[in-house]
Amino acid sequence: MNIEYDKNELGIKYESGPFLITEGLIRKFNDISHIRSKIKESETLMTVPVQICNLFMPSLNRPNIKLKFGNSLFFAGQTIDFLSDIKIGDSLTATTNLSKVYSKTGRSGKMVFIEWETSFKSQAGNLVSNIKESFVKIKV
Amino acid sequence: MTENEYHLGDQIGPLKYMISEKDVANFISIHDSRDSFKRFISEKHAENEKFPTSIVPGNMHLIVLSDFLISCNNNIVIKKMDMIFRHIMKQNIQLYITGFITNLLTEDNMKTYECDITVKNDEDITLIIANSKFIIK
Repeated sequence: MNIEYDKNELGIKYESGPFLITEGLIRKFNDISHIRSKIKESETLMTVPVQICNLFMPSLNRPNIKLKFGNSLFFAGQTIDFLSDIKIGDSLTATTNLSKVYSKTGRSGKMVFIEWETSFKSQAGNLVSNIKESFVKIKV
Repeated sequence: MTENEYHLGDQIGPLKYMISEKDVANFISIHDSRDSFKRFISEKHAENEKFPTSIVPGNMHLIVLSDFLISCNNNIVIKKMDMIFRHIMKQNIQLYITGFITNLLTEDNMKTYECDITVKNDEDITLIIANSKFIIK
């Protein structure tokens, strides 16, 4: 299947951030987490969950790839490597690029998968997390 | 089995879990541009985007799976999480999360556990398949 989209966007890197790691953000994370919300706040503020990077993913700067297929977009999967610790006061930046666009055919018909790769680095340049995301677009 | 040790084939969980509208609202409140999140808090916007109802944002699932592992052992430090979403996850439904230890390995001189995780609904439909690597500090 020939997929029509802006192929020039493949591999082009887009920066996002800075994303500041603050006590307020940790508190908000704790409100979402059923486990951390039960732990004493003073303890949860001592360690920053590396999963916090994932909160920034929907805010990343990404191009419109002008995909001409389907009318409904779903989150299909995610792979996250946690590589180093984060602490309160850190400032993270993210670099994202479109890595792959491909099609598959399932019971419900054709689907187009869009994959993005993102790396988070700290202000010191340490790699904090690599995240691969996959979205699927279908015709409903 | 001690609290700080797992063996190949050990089961973790099951954990009953529910993601409420309030959890989703808390998640969305973190983000500045909230327009793209309307489908998660408004049934009308969800329907416009061909969803049957308001669903759980995909990026929230990592928090759910992290909660699952840490609820079983709060000394777990997650090193990797690989998730495949098989069905949309509606809000306010009962979830059952179960894990099985599938591998023990040494990475960076640390004993590392590999765990397959499934998230199912009340009808035993698998919503998420995941694989995690973690250490115990």
